Amino acid sequence: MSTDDFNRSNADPIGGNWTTPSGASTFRIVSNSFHTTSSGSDPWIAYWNADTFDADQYSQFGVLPAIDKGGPAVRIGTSTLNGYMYTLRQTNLTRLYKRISGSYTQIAAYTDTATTTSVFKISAVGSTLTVYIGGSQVGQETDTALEDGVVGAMSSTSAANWDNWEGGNVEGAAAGQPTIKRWGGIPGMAINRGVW
Amino acid sequence: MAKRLYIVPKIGTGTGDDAFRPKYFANLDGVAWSAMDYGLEPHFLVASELTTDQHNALVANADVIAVPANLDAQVGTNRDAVVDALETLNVPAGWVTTTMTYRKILKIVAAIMLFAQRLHGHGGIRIFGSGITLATKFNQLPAATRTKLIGAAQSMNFDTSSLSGTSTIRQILKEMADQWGVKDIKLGGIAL
Repeated sequence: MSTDDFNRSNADPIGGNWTTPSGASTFRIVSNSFHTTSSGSDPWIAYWNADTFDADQYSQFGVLPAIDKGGPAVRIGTSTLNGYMYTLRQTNLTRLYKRISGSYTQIAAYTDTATTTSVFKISAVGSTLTVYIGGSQVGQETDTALEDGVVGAMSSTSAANWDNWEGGNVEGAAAGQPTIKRWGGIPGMAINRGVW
Repeated sequence: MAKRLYIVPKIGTGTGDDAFRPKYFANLDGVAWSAMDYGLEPHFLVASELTTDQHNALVANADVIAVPANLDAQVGTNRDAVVDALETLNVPAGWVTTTMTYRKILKIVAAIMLFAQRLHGHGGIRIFGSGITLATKFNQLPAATRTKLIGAAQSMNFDTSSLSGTSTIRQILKEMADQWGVKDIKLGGIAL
């Protein structure tokens, strides 16, 4: 498990244990919290560089003023700028997005009762994405676009302001990828194959 | 109403302010939904619990497919309509039989969509590029597309040994979907 409370001197860009991938805009530390830089353009991405991560991983933030288009992110591509992100509260809605090849796709919208002190968490285990608020599961979806990456934060807007990050591996996660099942392994499949 | 499944078009341009998302649902304030995209193809499978009025308004749109509420009912005499609806969306469906339940059909459809997602995430491409149809053969695809298609399948631990140059997109997608195996596919709390 890796953590950062951002309680240190202002820094722009954040540096240290955080890396901004090439092509992304930077985050910074302001008043002991984690901010996007006010300049720059989509996407803002930072990933934790002090540890290595399995494909089954999580990322979470405590929230200050909430925004709609950024949050904790998993399976961040250090060169592709891809990733899954759980975006923060807006009129009692949270949202799950993926960013692939420069395009965002909204995977889900959840109703919730989050507050600005809630902890927002996203985990990816195999092809299962799970999001939590305050430790309670909010939603769980299946998505296969991204198979691995690193953990950190992602935003498509410069208004992000978060605190108390934590990330790491999902310990004991069951293998999430489908196992190979050939035609003979599933009842009925041999019959169906001839329908073409 | 209970949570139901719908297939709707994709809208948006993919920017942060205009993300790809399922048509109609994003305009329903306060409504939770979960969506599975078909990679870069222009449709979503969506799970949502709507009010009766919201449901009726949604299904009044000609571009919305509403899956029956009882997923464990057999498709029966609706088989041809289901096949036509899916194939119009470039989802191969000739394998659908009258005795299959909607849940079984949708699991295969979802697995096809998930393979398309990996092709997008892994190879950055869509299946049905210009001129490519369900009948297009593997050996008619551009070399780069063939390589990415195989790479996407192998990244999901799928066996590609049965694919040949004359395998059609229709056959390839079904065969990849069948290799998903017994693991549930979850969408908005619905297990397929």
